[in-house]
Amino acid sequence: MSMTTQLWERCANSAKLLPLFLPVTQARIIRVVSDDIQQYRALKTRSNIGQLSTQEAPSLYSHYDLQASLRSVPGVLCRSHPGMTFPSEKNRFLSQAFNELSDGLYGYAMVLSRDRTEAEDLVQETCVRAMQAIESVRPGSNVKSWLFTILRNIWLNRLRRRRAAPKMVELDGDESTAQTIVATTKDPHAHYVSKVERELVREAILQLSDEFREIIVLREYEDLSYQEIATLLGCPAGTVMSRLGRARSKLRSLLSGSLGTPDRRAKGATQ
Amino acid sequence: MRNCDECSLEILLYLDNVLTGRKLEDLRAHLAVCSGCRERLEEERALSSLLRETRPLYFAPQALRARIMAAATEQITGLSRASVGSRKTRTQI
Repeated sequence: MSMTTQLWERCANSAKLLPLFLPVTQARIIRVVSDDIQQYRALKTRSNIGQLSTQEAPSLYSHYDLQASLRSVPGVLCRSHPGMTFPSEKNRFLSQAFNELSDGLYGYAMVLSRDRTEAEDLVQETCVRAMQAIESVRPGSNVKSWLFTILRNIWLNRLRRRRAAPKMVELDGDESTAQTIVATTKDPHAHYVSKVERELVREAILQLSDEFREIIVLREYEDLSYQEIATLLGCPAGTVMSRLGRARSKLRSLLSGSLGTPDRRAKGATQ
Repeated sequence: MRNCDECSLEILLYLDNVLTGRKLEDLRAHLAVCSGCRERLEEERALSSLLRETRPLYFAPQALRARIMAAATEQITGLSRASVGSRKTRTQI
């Protein structure tokens, strides 16, 4: 067994290879890596590992995290193609991320722009920019934060260009086809309640200031950590925490007129 | 003993399960004697629950999803074609 083959074996069984890009997609990525490792083993069995074609080699690399791990070992892969990179692999990974994060990105774009058309455009441009810049992403990067940062930067650049406040567009109650599909899978009553609540919450959030809207969505809907939000917004984590506290306080007061707390609603129902 | 202002931010950390050690003990001690902060805790908990129930806040329109995936597919296909075209030679790993 050659040194390279041994290394492949070692890496294929190493937990270090499990990528840490997105907590929400981690399970899926683990599966992908696992599948690829199986594919690698199948390829290895079928042919001499030193004679694989370039078309087959990407399958062996399986994931660019794996590729990067191997490249980080001095002297290893010294016989490989010097410029061998697999952008299509990264883009496949990115398209999975888009698929899973499209609601979140669209929601963030909505609270920033408060305009459906603008929000769609922001998300689409974010995806295009991300595809173009995927090569700059390092293994282990937080792709979710990265995508939200791209979207925010595009929005800020647009604001600067316009040198005007974003136009306010009243949102109607229409739901997209995606939501209709989701609705059919739920209990109708539960869906109705959640739809009404969602609309009330949306209205309340849209009444918040720009910075409060943004922080509520990033923390409460996207589960970004305080530090991730701090990095995204370019402010200290302490500022994020205090701003979130004030935003929640304001949101509570806005919602108190429309929705009581569950406890209060329960008390009201029994009286 | 902590005052109520100091506790307000720690209540959020407490709800996120990231408050530990001495700070957690101090908050619990304060909650045991302060009905105002206990009420605040329940209000924050109720808000968190409501926000969770309304996830996602918006659904990306189907047409937007389709456009994104089409763009991604096009990009992947284009790169694959370019990749195959530019690497005709065999390589050794």
